[in-house]
This record gives sequence, C-alpha cells and structure tokens, in this order.
Amino acid sequence: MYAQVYLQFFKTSLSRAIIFRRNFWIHTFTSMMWVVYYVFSIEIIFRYTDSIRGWGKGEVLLIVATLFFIDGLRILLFHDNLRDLPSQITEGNLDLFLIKPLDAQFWLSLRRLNFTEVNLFLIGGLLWWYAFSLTAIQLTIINFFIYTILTLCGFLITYALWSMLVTCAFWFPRIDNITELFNRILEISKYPTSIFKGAIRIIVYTVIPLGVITNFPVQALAGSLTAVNMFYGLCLTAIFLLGARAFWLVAVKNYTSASS
Amino acid sequence: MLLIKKYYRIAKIYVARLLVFRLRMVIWTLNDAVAIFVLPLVWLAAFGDKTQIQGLTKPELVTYYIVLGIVFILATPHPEDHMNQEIKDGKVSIWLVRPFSYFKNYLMSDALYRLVQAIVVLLLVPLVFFFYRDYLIFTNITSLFLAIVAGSIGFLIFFQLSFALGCAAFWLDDAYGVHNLYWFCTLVFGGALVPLEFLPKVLQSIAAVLPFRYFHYFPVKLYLNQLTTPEIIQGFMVQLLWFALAFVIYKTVWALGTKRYSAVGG
Repeated sequence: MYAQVYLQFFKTSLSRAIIFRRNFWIHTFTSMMWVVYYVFSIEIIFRYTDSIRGWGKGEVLLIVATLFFIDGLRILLFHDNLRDLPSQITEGNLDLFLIKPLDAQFWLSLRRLNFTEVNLFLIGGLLWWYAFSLTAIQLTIINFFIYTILTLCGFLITYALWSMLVTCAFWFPRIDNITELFNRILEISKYPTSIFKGAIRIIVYTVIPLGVITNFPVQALAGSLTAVNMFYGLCLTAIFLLGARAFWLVAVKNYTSASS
Repeated sequence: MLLIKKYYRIAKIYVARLLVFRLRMVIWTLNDAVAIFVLPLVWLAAFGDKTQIQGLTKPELVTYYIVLGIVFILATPHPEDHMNQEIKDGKVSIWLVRPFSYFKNYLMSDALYRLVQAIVVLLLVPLVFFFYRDYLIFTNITSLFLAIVAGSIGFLIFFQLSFALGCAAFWLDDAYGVHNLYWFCTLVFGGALVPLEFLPKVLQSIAAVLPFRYFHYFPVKLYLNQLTTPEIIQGFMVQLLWFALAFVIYKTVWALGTKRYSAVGG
C-alpha cells in the first residue's frame, strides 16, 4: 500500500512541477548559480595552497560533488515536507495527518517531491568526473561500491538529523527557519572535517556527523578509509534512523494540538 | 516632541513583536554566525607552513572573518522577502494611505531588529574570543569608531537598495531568482566569501565598481587599520555617493512600482 501511495505522491508532485515550468527554470538557474559559488569557494582556496591538511583540490571537489548528490536527493525527496513541518505543527494542521490511516511520519516526510534541484545530479556528475581526473586515485569496483553505500548512508543520516531538528518544533513553536540553519550547517561538510580540532572534531563525527556524511565516502573511494570507520559509518546510520523514529514517536505522544 | 513620541510608540510595538519571535531571531543569527566558526579554520588549514597569504597573516585573516561576520549579522537588512510577499498578496495597499511610509516602516523594523540582534551577538562574542584567542587583533578606538560609522552608512545604502529590490515584486511574479542573484553578489563582491584582494583580477575590477564592498568589506578594512588616510577619505566619499544614488534608485523604483500596482485581491 505504501508503494502505491508513494507513486501517487510522485505523480501529483510531478504534474505540479510541470504546471509551474517557469518557476522550475528560475530555480534551476538559481541553484546552478550556487553550485558555481560552492566550486568557486574551493577553487579560490587552492589558488593559494596545494592542500588542506592533506586533502588536495581533487579530493575536496570530490567531497563537494558527493554533497551535491546528497543535496539533490534530500531536496528531491524531503525538502518541502520537512521545511513545512514546524509551521504545520504551529498552525495545528498536524491533526489532519495524525488521523489518517497511514503512518504520519511517512506522509509528512514524503508527501511532496521537489524537482527543482534535480540538475544537481547532472552537475554533481560532471564535477565528480572533473574532480576525479585531478586525483591520483585508482578506481576499483569494490571502492566505488563502498563509496556508493556510504554516500547513501550520508544521505540517510542527513534525513534523520534534519527530521529530528524539525521535530523540535513540537516543543519550540515558531522555529520555521530551522531548515535554513540546517542547510547552512550541512554546507560545512563541503570542507574536509580535518580543519576542525578538539571538541568540534568530536562533534562532527558524532552528534552532527558531517565527517561521516561526506568525508567517509570520498576516503573510501581513495581507499584510505579503515574498516573500523566503515563499520562505524554503517552503525551510526542505523542509530540515527532509529533515533529519528523514536524521537518522532515521543513527540507525537506528547502532542496536544495547537488551535482547536 | 510629538514626532519623537510617535516614533517611540512605533518602535515599542516593533520591539515587542520581535521579542515574541526571539527564538527565530536567535536561529537567524546563528545561521550567519556559522561562517565565523568555519571559514577561518579552512584558511588556517590552507596556510600550512606559510606565514602570509596575499600579504595577510594568520591573525589578520582570522580577525577579518570574525569582524566581517559581526558586521554581516548587524548590517545586512532584509526587507525584500517580506515586501515580495506583501506586494503579491496586495497587502501593501494599506500602506499607501497610512501617514507613515512603507519605507520608514521597514527601515525602523529592520534597524530595531539589528539592535536587538546585537544582544545575541554580544552573547556570542565571548565564545568567539575563547575559540580564536591566539589569533585576535585589537586595533584602536579610532578604527573601531570609523568602522561603526562606515557600517551604519553601509547599512543605509544596503537598505535602500534592498528596498528597491523588494519592489521587483511589482513587475515579477517570482522574484526568487533576482533575490538570489543579489545575495550571491553580496557574498562574492562584498568580501564575505574571501577578502576582495583574494579574488581573481577580473572579479576584483567588477567588485570595484559595485556598491557591495561598502556594506561589509570597507568597515572591516577600517577596523583592521589597513587603509591609508586618502583611501579612507575616498572610501567615505564613495559611500556618500552610493547613498545618494541608492536614494534616487529606491525613490524611482517605488514611484514606478506603485503607479503600476493594482491591488490584487482587494
């Protein structure tokens, strides 16, 4: 049944996107502008240096490309839904979803697909190819496979973390701009996390695991990721997903509606 | 006297409204503050064994980003998004008949927002000090004073231009792209991404003729005491020129826009 419902979500979202074509192109143009900005911000650093704590330009751009894939996927599937969740809660619309014979978290996370950033897959692909040619990485099937898996893990962790943040709106109303802050924090993961030291370094591998999200996949591709770290990445993904689910259930249990 | 009373009343209402949404404001502040905790670290890592990049030492570059971050938070007005919505929804109509202009309304609410936000920034300052304790540069009171003056003038120029940008909604159904382009220019040509002297030559010469450098970059350079006296005088002169130009731009765009406007939905 969930697959059928999801197919319907997909269809309605797609026809929406087709109706607002001009909007689609404006957003595509805009997101390409920010892609240029991202890449440029890395290029400019490498005008003045050859490495950021051992990461060459190619490797750092591979991180950026990986972030584009994750961003493309999360915006496509989740962005509009999670962004609007806090205001749904504040305005009391949530009741409507809770009484539906479907899992509310499923509905609220996946109802609307946003097709405006699908160009990120294409641009990410091109950037990936360019970045890869700058590195001396020997591509093996097994490394590429692990890279793909870990990139997916990064994507899932991103969703879980974001979902937990917006779920905070059950207790703190009027934080409808929290997604903006989340976007900004996720943007940090375009840099190697080795720039951080001390407490922040611990944070970016545990509570806000930016290092696991984008750095691990690229390290795996280069063959420099240890088996222990790989295993850690997989476990962390499971923990985050379970955590997000548990947190949601607790929140809904404590929910007392806003308006009515 | 009556005038002061009027503005005081209005200011009180705005501040009260702001405080209702204080958590929102804290989030916006943190949103801008993230850069302070990242960009200097990226550059510190890029320094490697070098002692200077483009003539800037580690402390100079770190302090650049910290001061720029603070100026950015306190002197970046944002009327355009709200205006866009209000114009599209036809809510701007009421302002055409009120004895208090739409422009003043936004100028006051934005300026007060920045003042209240300054409290949040003050709370962040000790954290920044502790975090970067080895790299901070304190210049002198005169530099700080000049930076505050330049930042305030910059804010007013920026505000007038952002207001004109908000008026784009009179013509465009979807001003999203234009807003983003403007924002992009603010970051690249205003020195938030990197100090302008780090940009490739072509972009430097573009930045030289655009107003963006006078919003954030110029005050930071003043604070860092990296400008000669003629450069300082020239900087302020150009700021005043941009102020006048921005005034003409916003007045014109507003006049043309309201002439064109036919209240949607009543």
